[in-house]
Amino acid sequence: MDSAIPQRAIRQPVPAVRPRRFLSGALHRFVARRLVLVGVVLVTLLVWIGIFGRFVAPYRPIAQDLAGVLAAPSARHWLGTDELGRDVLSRLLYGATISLQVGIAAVLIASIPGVILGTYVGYRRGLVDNVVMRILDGLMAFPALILALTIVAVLGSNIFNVMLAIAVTSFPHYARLVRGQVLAVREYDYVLAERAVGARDRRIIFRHIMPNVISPVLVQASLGVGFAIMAEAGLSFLGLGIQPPTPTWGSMIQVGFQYLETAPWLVMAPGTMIFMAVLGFNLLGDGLREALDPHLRHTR
Amino acid sequence: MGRLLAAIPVIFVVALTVFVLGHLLPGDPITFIIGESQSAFSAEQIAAIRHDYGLDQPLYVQFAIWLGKALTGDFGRSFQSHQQVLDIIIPRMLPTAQIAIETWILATIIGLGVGVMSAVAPNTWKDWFGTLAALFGAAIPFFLTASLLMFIFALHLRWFPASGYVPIYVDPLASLRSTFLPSVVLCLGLAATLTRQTRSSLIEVLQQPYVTTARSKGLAEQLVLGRHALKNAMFPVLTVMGIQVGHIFGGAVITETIFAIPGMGRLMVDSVSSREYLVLQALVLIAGTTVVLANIAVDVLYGVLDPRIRMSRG
Repeated sequence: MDSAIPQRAIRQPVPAVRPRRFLSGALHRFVARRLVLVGVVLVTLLVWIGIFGRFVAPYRPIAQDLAGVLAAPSARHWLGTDELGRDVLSRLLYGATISLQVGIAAVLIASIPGVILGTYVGYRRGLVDNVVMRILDGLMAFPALILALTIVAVLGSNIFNVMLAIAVTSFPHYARLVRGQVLAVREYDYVLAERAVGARDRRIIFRHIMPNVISPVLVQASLGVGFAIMAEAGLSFLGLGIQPPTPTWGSMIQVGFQYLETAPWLVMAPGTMIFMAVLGFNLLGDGLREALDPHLRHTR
Repeated sequence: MGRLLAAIPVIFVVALTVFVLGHLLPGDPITFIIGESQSAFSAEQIAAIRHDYGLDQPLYVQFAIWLGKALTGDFGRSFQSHQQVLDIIIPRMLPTAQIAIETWILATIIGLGVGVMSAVAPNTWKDWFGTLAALFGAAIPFFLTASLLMFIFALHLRWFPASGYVPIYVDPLASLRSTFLPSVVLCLGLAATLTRQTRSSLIEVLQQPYVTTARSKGLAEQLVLGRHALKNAMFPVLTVMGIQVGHIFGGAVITETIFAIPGMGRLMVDSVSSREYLVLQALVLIAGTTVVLANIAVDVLYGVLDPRIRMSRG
């Protein structure tokens, strides 16, 4: 996590494929596609759980059963129960909704202004660009989780503030990514030619710059959802996220650590969910980059 | 030198952000200074205390004073214990710094090792192992690694303590044991990024003509790697390591909470809940500034290591 967002959204050097490795290279690409498929499956599953999980949950997530606390996984409670006898599986399924909401909302709140600001300063350049970039550099210097927790401490712990705090930490990454792209595209020969024949800024921005900007932003957004899910869990774990009794993966983990020795499923079940979610969005992001970036199409 | 000057506005933005956030924190700081029982104080006394703490000045004046003092290491006094904020923070630095250094060492060994292993044998099972390991390492949350390691190695095998910290000057061996699990937890994400970066930059370097030349004059592959290729593949890796200082700081907040380590991360969480906003401000400022300085250090190192940059600057 720069920390905030994996740096992978930035284009990596392109390794050329050696011809003599053709066969294994093909195998490599095939397995690489498999991994993307795994990502698609994981993300689809998570979205499905996020939307429908609450309807298939066997119990209400806040229904306590004080006679059956800290029960090990069994046929009645597939993932056991917590310290108040609440069904862990049901809480996980409800928690998925929160994680997904925060993940997607944080990315939208960060990326839309990020794209607009990045396009604007990249196109205008000059002093505005310089000042804005220094401010963004300053914001990006903070470790993401630290900035997010300070913002939540300032604004108060509720779901909207959590989304906003995570968005603030990732917003500079979108603006910077887009600005770089705009600076490069505006110097392309065909854009210069278009300008030479008298095209308006609006036409250049929407016809030429936007299409070039969208794909790296999509890649970043996919990685960003995973990051936001991880950050939300971190804040909830520290007691600064969405407050109980609302079930969130992070708060389940916070309580679970107190019972790690006797009831390890309390931490490991939500921990595994976060892992799967982040892995899914990372793989999806890698796949999107490969699919959308023509420079990378013939490599991994 | 140019880089240092360029960092000044960035650090200024960092400081301004910290100050503004600190002042937006809920609750009147005056209640933390004199406690909830405000009725025990007269209005004049409260005004006098406000004046003593500079809380009656306009915000930009408060900022200028605060920044000036912060530059000399004076972050004010704690509202509760009335200690100097810096005196509260300094004892917390050692555990965090020690874990950070151990994390760096572990991550570098794992990241470079797996990355080189992948790059010298592209498209083999070794490469695939490296790629998968990097994918998993990047996605696995601290909680999951921490709970697994703690459950197996601390609670059951009892090889390492599950919580607490032993200072390195008290008992070096016990100290390493108390910081080992948190370092492993923190290093995985960092090692994953390093693996990816090492692999892609080394693969690129290995395609360069000068590597072919070195091979064709009959140099042993190890020498080609060690003396020629790795040196140049290190540059992007160095950048990643600079960026990741922030990752270690951010992660410390979580791991120090899990492993009950009395470091800066834990102090930050505590200062939020106890509304010690001067402590929080100081910590966030230190974290942000450290990241900026680490990136400058990487730039300087670049200049030292890369003769092209050294010449052009000279």
